[in-house]
Amino acid sequence: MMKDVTRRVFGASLLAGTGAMAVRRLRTLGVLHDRRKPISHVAILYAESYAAPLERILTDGLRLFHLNLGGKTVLLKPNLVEHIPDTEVNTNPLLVGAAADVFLELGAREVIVAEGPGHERDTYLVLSETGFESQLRLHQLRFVDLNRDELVRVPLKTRFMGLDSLWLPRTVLKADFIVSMPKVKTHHWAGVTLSLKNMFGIMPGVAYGWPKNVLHWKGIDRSILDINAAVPVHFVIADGIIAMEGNGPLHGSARTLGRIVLSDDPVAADFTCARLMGLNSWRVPHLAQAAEFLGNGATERIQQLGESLPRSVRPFAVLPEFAHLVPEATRTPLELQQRHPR
Amino acid sequence: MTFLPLASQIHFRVLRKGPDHLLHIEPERAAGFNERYPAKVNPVVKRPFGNTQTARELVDIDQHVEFVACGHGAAVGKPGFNSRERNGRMVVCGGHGLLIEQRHNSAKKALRRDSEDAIRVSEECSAKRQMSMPTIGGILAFLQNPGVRSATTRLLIDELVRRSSPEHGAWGFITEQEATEPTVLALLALSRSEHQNLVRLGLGILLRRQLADGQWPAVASLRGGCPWATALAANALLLLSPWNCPLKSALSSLIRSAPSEAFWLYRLKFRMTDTHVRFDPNKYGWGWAPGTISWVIPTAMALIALERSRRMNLVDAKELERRLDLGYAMLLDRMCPGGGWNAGNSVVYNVALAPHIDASAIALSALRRHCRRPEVQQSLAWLLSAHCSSAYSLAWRILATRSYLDVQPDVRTNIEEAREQLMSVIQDLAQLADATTIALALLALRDDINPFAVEPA
Repeated sequence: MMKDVTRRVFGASLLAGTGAMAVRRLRTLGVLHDRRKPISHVAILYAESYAAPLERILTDGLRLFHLNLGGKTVLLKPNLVEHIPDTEVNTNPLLVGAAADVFLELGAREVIVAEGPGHERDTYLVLSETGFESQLRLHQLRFVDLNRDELVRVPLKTRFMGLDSLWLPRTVLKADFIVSMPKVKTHHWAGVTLSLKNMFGIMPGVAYGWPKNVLHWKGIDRSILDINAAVPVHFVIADGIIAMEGNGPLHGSARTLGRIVLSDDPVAADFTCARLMGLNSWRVPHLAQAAEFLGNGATERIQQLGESLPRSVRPFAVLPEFAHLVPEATRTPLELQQRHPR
Repeated sequence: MTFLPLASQIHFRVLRKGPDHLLHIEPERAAGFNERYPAKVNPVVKRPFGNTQTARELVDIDQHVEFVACGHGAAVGKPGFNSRERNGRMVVCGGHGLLIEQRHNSAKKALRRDSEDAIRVSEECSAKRQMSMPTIGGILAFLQNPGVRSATTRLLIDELVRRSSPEHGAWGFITEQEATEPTVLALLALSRSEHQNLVRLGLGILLRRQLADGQWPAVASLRGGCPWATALAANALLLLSPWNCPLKSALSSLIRSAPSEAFWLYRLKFRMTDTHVRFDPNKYGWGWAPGTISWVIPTAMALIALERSRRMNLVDAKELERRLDLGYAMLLDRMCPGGGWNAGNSVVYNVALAPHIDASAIALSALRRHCRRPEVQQSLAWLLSAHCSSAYSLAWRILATRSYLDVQPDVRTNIEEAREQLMSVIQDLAQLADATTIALALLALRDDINPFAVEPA
């Protein structure tokens, strides 16, 4: 059994490592545009529960970033999959409502909530059952069903999936400031689902099926890279107040983290979330590859605002296929290299 | 008399409660609303709530008040209508000069009196091509009076016509971008209305959008065809233009269209390595797009189209039977353990998935010929008991269960209840954002047409 796990860990690490190396090579050859900032900023905010004063917590947190939102249209993209009673599957609607109010207070012209649920075709039912509908009404927010929005063909500069273009919703393309609001969860196909994976939800069901089946077949990790290269995420508010471990993203167990993660870089946000989850981000293929051109993963290039990372973390439970994400496993040479500033 | 348009559901926030219990509305929202309805709203927002205990209890600072504009009347309600039944939002309702408290106290009498007005108002509105929000009384009347159902149908027809593209005859989902699904459903919903010109135009556009391989794209601007859109379009042609040559090529393309599991290498993959999803890859149907695996909704819709065309002998009978058998087997294989269907799988990582109403309804429509099978009976029982607050799913449920009237005695009552609920939920304008929902609601409220009904065996 131990041998099996070690072999799997080695295989998976090698896969993530070689993928990242290939991406790095493409970047150095100039095929991939390097979008990494010199320094990314991440703030970890403490929020005991959803009953906490979320608006105040977010206001304090967002002020650290000195965002210029004057007159901008802000698009909030929560992770809204489907309703499973007594299971924290979706980004909590209270957090989304609070974020909308704060962005308006910070000068945004309009805040739109937009999502294209992956499994359920009945978007209204998902909104209503998950409590989003009442939050939308309460905060007078416009919701756009991205599964059925107007499609615009966008040529791809990256070709991880082998496609030359993507059909994207006009509402997303028109937004001035895109905020990915993932739920911090493990994922039975991708390892983790955080701000980069959350952008899968912008892909319109009318073009890609339910649950975005065309893209799943092209490869989840590859799709995530292409989508995020085509649609830059400007900001992240990750819901880690109650996260999910084990058999995520739908049938895992609740895990109270009591944290909200804010960042101006989705890769930095995901690396930080993975660290909070006690998982090795460099072994998640799409994170390792995204850190080569989309954003910063190395701690040296992430400036921590607010609360610092905890010294020790009890790793999230993962499915056996993802045992290699738990740090006790062997480190790959690439990871060792990543530990030093480049 | 001022008619409030469909988009007349507005949210106010109570900013402060004055000494005289005035309802103070956020200035910019009040301004926007007053501009549109000056005569109606000013008296409402400035009207004192009075010193009743009810008002004090219900109107708190920062409480959001949902103002439901009702019919042709001004909203002059005292906040007495049960707020907690509406997720904690207070509903200030009015109309016809009746105070809500009066309605509440002598509910039935007042509501009946209102219902007659509601019918008249609805008819007047539709004559002016405007939508009105029926009054509470109107809603009750819908439940009791078939005439009001026709009034609702009329309003939905008008709304659907209004949403057709500027050149007419094509529809988009939530925007004007032409798409096959809303166009097909709208054409079916309008097929027996007086808008025959529009239907003819729409049918022409639909036929022009057919691709060389016989398929339809999901959205007109997409390059490739998709089995779901093709199956929907084939169903529309079966009803609207059954002897048309494009129908034959559509059916042939459905028979030719095979998902990934049709190829042995993928079957091997699912048997050897990709084993976390429990299903039999030998049983397959249709996917959302070429090159992907089978999913419940496109499979069920393709089965409905092929089954409904069976008698017309438009395609090779042997191939037709083969695909029908495979498709039925796939649906039965993917059924959730307790009945009903999820999007595509029933058990993933040893966890049983919960059924979805729309997927279950479309699958049951397809499986009508197998209605005596225990799996179908179990799924029907699940569907009949499923709670639903959404017009889209309710409409699919009604359309599906209408095929089972002769199978289970309680289906008729269930359909009537579902229709009442449907007429109630479509008062919420957010439910009608998508043209497909309007079309489906129309089809579900009509008795004379069910384009997805498969003949019993």
